[in-house]
Amino acid sequence: MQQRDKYRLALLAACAIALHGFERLIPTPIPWLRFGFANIITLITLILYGFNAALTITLIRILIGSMLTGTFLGPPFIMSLVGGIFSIAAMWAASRVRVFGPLGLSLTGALFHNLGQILAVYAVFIQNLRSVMILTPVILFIGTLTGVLNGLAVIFTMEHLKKMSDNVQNSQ
Amino acid sequence: MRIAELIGCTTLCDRLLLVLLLVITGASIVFVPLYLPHGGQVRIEVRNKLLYKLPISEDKTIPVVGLTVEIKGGKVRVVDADCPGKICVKQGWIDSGAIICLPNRVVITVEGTPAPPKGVDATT
Amino acid sequence: MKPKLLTAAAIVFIIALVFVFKSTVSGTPHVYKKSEIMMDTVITLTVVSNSQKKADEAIGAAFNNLRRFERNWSFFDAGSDVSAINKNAGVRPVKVSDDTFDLTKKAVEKAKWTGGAFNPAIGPAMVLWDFKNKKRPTDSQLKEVLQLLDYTQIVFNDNDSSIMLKDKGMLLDLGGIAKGYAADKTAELLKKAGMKAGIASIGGDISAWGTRPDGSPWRVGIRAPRGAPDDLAGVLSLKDLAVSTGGDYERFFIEDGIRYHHILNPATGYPARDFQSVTVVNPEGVVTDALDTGIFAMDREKALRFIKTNNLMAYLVFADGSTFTSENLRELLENR
Repeated sequence: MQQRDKYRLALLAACAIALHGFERLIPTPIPWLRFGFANIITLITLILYGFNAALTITLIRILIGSMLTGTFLGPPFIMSLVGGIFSIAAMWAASRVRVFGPLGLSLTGALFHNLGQILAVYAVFIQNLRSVMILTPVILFIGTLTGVLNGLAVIFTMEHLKKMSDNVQNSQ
Repeated sequence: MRIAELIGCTTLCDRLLLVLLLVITGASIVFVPLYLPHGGQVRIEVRNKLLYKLPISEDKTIPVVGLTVEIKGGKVRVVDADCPGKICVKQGWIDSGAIICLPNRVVITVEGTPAPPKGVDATT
Repeated sequence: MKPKLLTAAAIVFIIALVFVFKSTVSGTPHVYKKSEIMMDTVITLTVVSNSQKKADEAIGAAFNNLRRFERNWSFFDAGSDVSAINKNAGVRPVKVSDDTFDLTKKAVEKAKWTGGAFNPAIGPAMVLWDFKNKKRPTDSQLKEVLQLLDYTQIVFNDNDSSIMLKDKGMLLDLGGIAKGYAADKTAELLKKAGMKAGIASIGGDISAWGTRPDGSPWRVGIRAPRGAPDDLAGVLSLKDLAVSTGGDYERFFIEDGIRYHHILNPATGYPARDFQSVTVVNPEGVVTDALDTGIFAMDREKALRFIKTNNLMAYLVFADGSTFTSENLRELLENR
């Protein structure tokens, strides 16, 4: 990895933390409804720099983010960690198939992020299969909707970046 | 950049995945609770054989050997019994734990709702 | 740090973390409970387990074992070990299962300890009483059987684990001790199946081990002898202890204002008169069950002396309704 890439990753991680923090300010009608805006950054990083970079900035985001919010090593931290790893792995696998655009990847990421979190909750914290079974579809449904939102944001950003780089190339 | 343009940047598989996810999760929201047991379950066993398993949320009155069992408003009771002591009738409404009629060998238990913490765990 | 190394480190870290949490945080074990009617009483098994599957399996196995006990020890079932011994009273020794042999031996041991107040040979007097149909025997009927209630005439042969009642007409009745023994054995079985805490309640004979999921001791209510069935005289906090209560309210009928109940004084064949209920707490259920009956059959003074000399934990409700709590039980008993 080049030095310049390192700076970019640090910048992206900072963006992710900022979005993550910003997201907490948005009031949601349902307590466990989260937009997962940080996934926008994760997905962009995955597309631009690959799996390792995406994993790196996610880990940084979760680590720093949890320290900022005071949940380090607490239940939300474990949930973010498992969810984050699951979604990156899934998005990476989906990107290898090469039939999905950013929207599909974002949906996959959202789906597996939620699945990972539910699994973590079930395995580690509460073993009430009944409530998990009832809540899972609701969480996944809402996750799909926010996944669409994030996917469109990624497309928007990517198009924008493309235009910018086109402009840069044209002007050169 | 308009929304339509953004949507134009999606692939066929993206859209298929979206529709699939919405349909599956949407349908699961409706159907999963239907196939799951409701909150409390009333189990009625006679001679250690399960006779009925009923949701406590549905009001119902059923005859069980010598007893008449009533489920109403999330509670169960024995309305009438042909045994001499009628201990099970005297116990009244319960929403957790068990009603037991020894002479008729009937055990009525409410599952899925925990017993209140202040209660006793057994009686001698 | 190279990203690949970072990935590997992260994965190891997460796996380790999940395992640590699984072993510590997953301390939300649940209480599983099942009741069956068996041995002429209600048996409720309660266990604390992290897994419903394991709990169900253990409870199922325990009930199967109790069914075997019921087959061996039933007084009425013609196929039981006890019936075989009784049928051959005065005739020949009967080879019995190891459990029956062990239990009967313990029963005779407790009979000796209580000076015959607890008596496993009470059968001939017991069969004369019919509490269901409110029929009582005459004086002469009872007198006739008194000499048959001699527990020293129960003979054991350790070589082939056989038991013989020496005199014809003797009847072995393990009703006063079998449930406590069964509670012990059931608790043992469930413990062996990995259930770290629980309660084996065989009728009123209870063996409690470990604690509730929140770490507090199990709470066991003692029935108030003259109240409604769910009225409690007190609540015991138990941890690794057994408790039994014998009461004149369990099986009885009232005739001309006199209560005739099922705890007989072996010396007279009549119901014992000095208590409404006797509760005994001890690490062993086989002790509590035999002693609640045994102490109940004693008179007041002898009972108090027996409790004192043996340093027993006991709660007594006398015939006049007054109570006695042994000093060593006061900390465990919360009066209502």
